[in-house]
Amino acid sequence: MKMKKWLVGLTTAMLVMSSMIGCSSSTPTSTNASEATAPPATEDKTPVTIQYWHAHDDDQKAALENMVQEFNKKYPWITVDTVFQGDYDTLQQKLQAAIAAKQVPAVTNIEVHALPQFADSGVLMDLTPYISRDKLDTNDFSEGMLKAYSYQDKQFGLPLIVSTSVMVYNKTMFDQEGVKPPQTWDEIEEFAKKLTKKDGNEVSRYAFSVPGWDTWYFDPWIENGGGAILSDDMKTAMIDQPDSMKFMKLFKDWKDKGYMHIGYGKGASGNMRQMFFDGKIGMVEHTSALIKWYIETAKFEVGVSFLPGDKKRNSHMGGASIAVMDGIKDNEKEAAWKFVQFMTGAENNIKWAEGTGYLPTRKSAISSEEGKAYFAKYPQYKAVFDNFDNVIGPPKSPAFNEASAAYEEAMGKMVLNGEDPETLLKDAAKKMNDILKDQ
Amino acid sequence: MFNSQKVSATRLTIAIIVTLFMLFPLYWLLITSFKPAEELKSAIPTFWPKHFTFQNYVDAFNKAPFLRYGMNTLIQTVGVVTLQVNIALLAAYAFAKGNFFGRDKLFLAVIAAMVVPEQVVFVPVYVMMANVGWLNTFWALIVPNAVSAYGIFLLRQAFKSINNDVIEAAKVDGAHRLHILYRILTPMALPTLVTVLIFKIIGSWNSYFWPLVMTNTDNMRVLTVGIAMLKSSIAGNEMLNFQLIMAGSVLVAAPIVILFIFTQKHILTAMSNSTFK
Repeated sequence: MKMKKWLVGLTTAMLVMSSMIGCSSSTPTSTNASEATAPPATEDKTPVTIQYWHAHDDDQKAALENMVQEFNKKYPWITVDTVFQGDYDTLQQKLQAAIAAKQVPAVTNIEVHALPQFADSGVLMDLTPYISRDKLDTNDFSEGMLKAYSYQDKQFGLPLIVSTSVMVYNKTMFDQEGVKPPQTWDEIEEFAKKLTKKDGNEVSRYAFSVPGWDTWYFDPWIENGGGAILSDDMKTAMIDQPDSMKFMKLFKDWKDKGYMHIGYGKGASGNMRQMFFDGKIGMVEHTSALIKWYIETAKFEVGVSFLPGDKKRNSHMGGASIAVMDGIKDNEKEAAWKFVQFMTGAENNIKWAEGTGYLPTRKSAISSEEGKAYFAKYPQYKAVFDNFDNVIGPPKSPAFNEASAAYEEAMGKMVLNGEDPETLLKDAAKKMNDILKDQ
Repeated sequence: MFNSQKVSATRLTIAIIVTLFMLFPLYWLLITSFKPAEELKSAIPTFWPKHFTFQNYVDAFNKAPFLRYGMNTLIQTVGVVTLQVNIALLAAYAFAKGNFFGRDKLFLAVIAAMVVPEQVVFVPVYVMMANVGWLNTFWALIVPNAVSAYGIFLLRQAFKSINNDVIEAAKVDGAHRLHILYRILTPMALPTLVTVLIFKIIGSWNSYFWPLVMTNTDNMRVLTVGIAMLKSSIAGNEMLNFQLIMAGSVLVAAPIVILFIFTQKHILTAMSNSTFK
């Protein structure tokens, strides 16, 4: 007993100490919120090196190298060091350490769900004054994609890697059965009835599947039904409101009728993909980053449709921005800003999208000759761009990731145990409010 | 009463089943690394590659400087393990046979350090490393890992079980402390030492998070980080090119497996003799 007490005491002391060290030095160093003007643009061509910390996978490496080369042609005095820092989670952990050590890279990726956390702590450079100084035409960006990286009316980074959830369907099967992908929730019942096949009580073919393993896939369903995940001030959970619960009640109904497949837990994604390829599911909701992969892998014709809508018709963004860190020298900021503009610029937008498999972000790029050629090659992407401005960011609360675990669990209980959505979501809302209160 | 032959046959069957379960992931790793990418996409998994290919190894080697990574991993492992073992020997000797104020409380502090994960302490350590300019050097890979609480704990237990008479006799013969530790106690605790050594080699060889966080350039990266860089995925979490990752993993795991085969006997005696005493 005595020993245990000692242990607990010591460990707690160490934890507190280390977290104190971590926190005390991670307070923002040079944030000046009232400063709304950028230093005047200077034509300083003294050589400068900036680091770009990224989470780009191997298959995006060639596109990245190509972009850096092009950038160097344009700005020969700026050297960009690209440093791979693992996946988004590891990159963020390392970024936090770097902030504490006051040795930050000039440019970094910020995953879209992590933006509020980083923006809130004042470690990212506010790009707004630079945007207005250099008269960057922000209207050329998809409105939703741009707004996803603003926080309290300030722009902290520009969209770089953008994906969104789409409906990928088996076009060959749809043509045979004479169905079209549903565009509204009202059309789903009829669509699913036609496509679902049963052997006795066993479902041998589901009409469609929505992933339950990550809230990202059903978050837009909550909002499209007229509901919300969090209140506008981000302080209360809205998941227990009638409009917010509508989607899950429908999901349960569709699931019970055998229309709908919902994957949950480890391996669910692989399972869903396999069932789709085997023709056991007609249509799956998945990330647009995989459209090309679906087209290449499937032995049938693949079509893509935007998420069906009800009161709204939105879809949520995934991916990351490219952002500038605060706490670097002024000439580095200037170079970093040039790099950020170049990486997100309209001139290379299509090439970047093609090289990485992510979505173009610029309206002018889409309507350019290059853009037209891209759509001719991949007509499947058109479904996304017809709804370009409806691709929006997730709720901007620093506690969102933590809070979303509560209703992800609710989805799991509905899928696995067939529990009642209303009770589940009311419980989830209580848990979420507890988490939000601590913020 | 059970027939003893029956019992041993049952035991053998259970042992074989358990072994198969343990070996299967390794088998899967190996055959996946020899499969072409198309075969991984097929609906029915194949238990033996239909088209046997070395291309994945060639690709993995071409995509990243694996020799450099391997060298770095080796330097890191040798550095870390040398320091850990020597410091653990010295500390364990003091905790087991020494007699000084606060000895047992200090030892509890060491044990407490065992339960703190590296994710908790890496931020302050990162700051320290940044302040002394050690980031992206071998110092940052080795020095913060120089002490292993686990090693100290295991060796202390081993030393404690050695009779004090041995030490007294050596003292009478005029042996000084380091001589007693390295020439007399260490050989007697050899099975434990080998256990510590092997666990620490495996731990350091396989470490991912620490070297990733502490280094920034390709010429300082280690094997595990190199493999992570080969990944193609969906939004960062669902892997698409398993065949490459598996080929890389075979390259990383091979030295450890070879080490295990050659030291198997020591490991087994160490496990059964000292750890559970």
